[in-house]
Amino acid sequence: MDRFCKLLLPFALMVGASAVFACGESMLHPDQGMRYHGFTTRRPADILVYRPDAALGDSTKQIYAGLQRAGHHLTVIAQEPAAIDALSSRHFDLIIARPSDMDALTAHLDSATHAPALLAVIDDADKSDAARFPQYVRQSDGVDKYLKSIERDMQERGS
Amino acid sequence: MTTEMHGRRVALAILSICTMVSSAIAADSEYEAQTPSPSNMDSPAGHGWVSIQAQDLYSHGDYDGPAGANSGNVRFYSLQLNAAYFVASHWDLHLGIPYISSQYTGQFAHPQLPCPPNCTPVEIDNGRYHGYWQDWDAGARYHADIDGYEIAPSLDVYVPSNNYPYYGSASIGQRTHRVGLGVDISHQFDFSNIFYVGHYQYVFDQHVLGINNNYSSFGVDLGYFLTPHLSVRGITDVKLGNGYEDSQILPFAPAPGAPTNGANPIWELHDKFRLQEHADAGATCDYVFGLNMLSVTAAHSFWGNSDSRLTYAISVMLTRSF
Repeated sequence: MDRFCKLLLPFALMVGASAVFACGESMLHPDQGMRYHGFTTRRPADILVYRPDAALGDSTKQIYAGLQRAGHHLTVIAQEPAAIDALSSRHFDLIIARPSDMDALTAHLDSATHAPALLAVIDDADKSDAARFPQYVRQSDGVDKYLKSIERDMQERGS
Repeated sequence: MTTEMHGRRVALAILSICTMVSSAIAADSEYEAQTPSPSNMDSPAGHGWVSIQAQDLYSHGDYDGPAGANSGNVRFYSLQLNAAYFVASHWDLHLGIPYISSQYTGQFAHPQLPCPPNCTPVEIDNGRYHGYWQDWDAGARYHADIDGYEIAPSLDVYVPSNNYPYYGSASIGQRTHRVGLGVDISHQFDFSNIFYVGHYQYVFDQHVLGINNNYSSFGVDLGYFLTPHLSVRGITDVKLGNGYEDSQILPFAPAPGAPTNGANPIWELHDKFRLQEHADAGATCDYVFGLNMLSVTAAHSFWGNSDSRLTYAISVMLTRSF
């Protein structure tokens, strides 16, 4: 039947050109768009941020705000004694600090407790610290890099 | 419609999109809190949205058929109204209806049907605009969020709102009752501004003369958030299914000058079960401001089978959540 019809087409074109169609879809139905979904973690972490600098820059504030918006709980401390007190008085899932500060803090960690993960903030050009810390971010990194590293840490620790 | 006019319309659409993009980026340099909408509320029960969409769709000829691209031009101007209301935290009921005004221009209007019984002239192909309300779309949708994947299965019932003409190149619809089972899925990748929106729907169409004309409609949009309020996405829309191909319909077409009392029901009703398969692609820009979302879409058909050849469709849709 199909073959017969195809044979008929040229003939029909000649004798019956009015038999055409052009009837088709009258509307396009585009999908509705999607609203922006900022990343929300499924593994919220208690994070100690040790930052001895007196003043925080805008980019640092944005990173901290981004971590909190994603669902993490931040405790930002600028003095070493206060940081050590906090570590000994409560449990943190993660410490964010520079490599030299990290060494000072980890020396006071109680080895009997479940040690927090470490996320070092290293200089952009530094290679030795990068080798020393399994998880690190660079100073110029944005909030996404922090979130990815934290997510990976929490996943590895089974949180 | 000249090529120059087509060019102007497309240029206007692109200009509109670029204006939205540039102004939104300029005004949206910082991250702002997520705009509240039913999709991101803990419990959207009692909320919903309404939308209005204006569309200009222009088809030039056919993909198949004896005259192919020369079978004439059809323009559809449409205005579609939609509303959805969350009756429970995951369930929405929605209702929509389009008003479509169409015009056929060309040398090959559908021929007059036998009289009686179809004594009304085929006015919709007379070169003028004719407008009708099309089909009611009433349905229910369940919204689930599973680990960031928004999945929404739905059931839709389509009912003709009146006895609009279904026979003619400029017919605004098939005037059949249909039931559609579908699912929408959308997801934004973690730590990324990339997202996708997909849809699939299987439609059980009213069988006419016992001919199966059920079809599937599906597509995937890939999008990117330029800012939390502004996104662009490439869109696709494909329709595949059952029905008669043009080569099956053509033998039943009346010859020119034939008496009007001899047409076959296959020809008389072919617009209800013509295959009409196609694949369209295009781009959309969505801009969210407050509780509103403005979407501008442009699309073009790049494949078809026994269907008209979509030159372009441009639509502007405003959605307001409440």
